[in-house]
Amino acid sequence: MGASPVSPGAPDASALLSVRGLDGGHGPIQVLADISFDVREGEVMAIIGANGAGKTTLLRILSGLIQPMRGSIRFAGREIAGSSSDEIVGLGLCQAPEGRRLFSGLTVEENLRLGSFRRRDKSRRVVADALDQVFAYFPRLAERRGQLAGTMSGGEQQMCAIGRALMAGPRLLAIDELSLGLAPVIVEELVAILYDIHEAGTTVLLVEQDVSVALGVADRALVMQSGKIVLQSSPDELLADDAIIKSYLGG
Amino acid sequence: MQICLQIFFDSLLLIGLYSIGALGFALIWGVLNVLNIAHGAFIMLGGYLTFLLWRNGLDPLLAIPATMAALFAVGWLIQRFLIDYVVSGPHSLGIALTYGLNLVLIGLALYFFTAEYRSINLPPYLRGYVDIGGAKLTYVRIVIMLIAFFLTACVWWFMDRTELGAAIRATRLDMEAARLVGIKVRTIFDLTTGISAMLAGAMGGLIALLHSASPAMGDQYLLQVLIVTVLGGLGSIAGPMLGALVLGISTSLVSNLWGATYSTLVGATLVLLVLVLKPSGLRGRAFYEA
Ligand SMILES: Nc1ncnc2c1ncn2[C@@H]1O[C@H](COP(=O)(O)OP(=O)(O)OP(=O)(O)O)[C@@H](O)[C@H]1O
Ligand SMILES: [Mg+2]
Repeated sequence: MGASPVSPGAPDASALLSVRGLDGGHGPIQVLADISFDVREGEVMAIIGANGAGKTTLLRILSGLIQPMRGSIRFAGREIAGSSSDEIVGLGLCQAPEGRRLFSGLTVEENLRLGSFRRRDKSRRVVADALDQVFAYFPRLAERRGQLAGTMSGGEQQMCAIGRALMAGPRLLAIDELSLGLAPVIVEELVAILYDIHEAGTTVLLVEQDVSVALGVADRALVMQSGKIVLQSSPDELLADDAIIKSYLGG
Repeated sequence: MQICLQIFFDSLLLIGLYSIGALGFALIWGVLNVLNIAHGAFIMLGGYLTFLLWRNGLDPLLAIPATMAALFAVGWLIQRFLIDYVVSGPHSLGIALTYGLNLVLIGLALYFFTAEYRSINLPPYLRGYVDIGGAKLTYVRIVIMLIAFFLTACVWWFMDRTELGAAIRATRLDMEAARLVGIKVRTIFDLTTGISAMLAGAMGGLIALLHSASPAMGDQYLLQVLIVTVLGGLGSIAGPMLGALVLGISTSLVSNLWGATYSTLVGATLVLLVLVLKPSGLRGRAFYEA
């Protein structure tokens, strides 16, 4: 089998994101142990794993919402372990979090514009261009720009969450649970748009429960189990091996 | 007719004053989830500062913006070095801390200024009055009204139309999501308490112009502000405004028709009525909801 265990070593300077020996969790409770992986510029990396594997915890640490216990996170040539979330967003690591987390009482447009909060150049034109770009990806958001974000359907809210992350002009777009709670048609639509976003030059880190969705879009995939990365491989190799899917993902 | 006009003008004045006080109070409550008892002390500080600036030769109308700037700084610092430590704690902690702060500040005022009422001698251009249909409207009241309504409009504009305002509202709704778009939540907290204290300072300064400054003024107006907040509910600019409207009109009605002694009963009665008949507040949004 081609799937190889992960070997840490020194950070990969050519990678956009390089995580080494990362331990972390919630308060004193350790969830992640010795996580190491790289995300190269321009690829789509998927992270899959059963409930409670620690995927969300990992993304929260990457975004600076929780401080790691140990280890190194290099992003765009900078060490960001210990940085605050606004610095990390400023460097271009942006996240559409689990559960969307839109500002429900704000309009769609206000949500999107806040996505640009940390842009260095916030001139009217730059923000308007970013907004147009998001509306080009998600025309339904343009129709609903004045609507309160909390009143939209789940699929529209996911679009808005991704759009909000895009408004910062990210180098790495992290999405936690793209398909959660959404009908298959909507998921397909979102995946197609994700391709476009990736084509336009954004590196993507996709956390996804639905293995077929994740492995359908990704160039490479990490499999997490109980806070560890147990496999790192190409989707084809993972898909070819039913035993892996069964043993790590329970299905 | 004359009494109607008098009631109308009195109402406008109270609505303006209550609005700015309650907007500040509701802001810090909504965003930080802290019931800031020291809001009363901020009002009092505003009163004394305006008085002091006037006594040192500043025109009272210039003293108001200066007072506001100073109170903004006071609010910012108190947030950063005091309230910040209790923001994520239980409600009771925030109440205890700000209650203590309120006592300390009132104590300091008693020490430095005694319990005496300090009033400002108005400059000549504020001393006249206009007679509208028999109702006497003094210049100083007109000016205070205008300033209060102007400040209310500014707050609305800032919160509704600017990016920082949107960031404050976003932080109120989901602190973590705010972090994820790169908002410095701690700075937003500092800013929020700064604005809140600034509005309290304006209220205090205007009251000093209208009546006087005293150590007791803070608690007295904090009570009105609390009543307005209970009546109108949190979560928007409209809430405190509606509460101010209701309390302002009913207070001036009662004091004009039955005498000022009864006006203190108005707020308490209204709160009781609302709590019994419509516990969720006049607008259907409970005041205790964050
Ligand atoms: N706020 C928290 N406090 C304490 N423990 C937590 C917290 N959030 C998550 N955990 C624990 O951390 C572990 C990993 O959770 P995490 O949410 O990262 O998993 P996940 O892989 O994202 O799961 P899912 O697929 O269900 O989203 C779980 O055991 C969970 O119980
Ligand atoms: Mg998760």
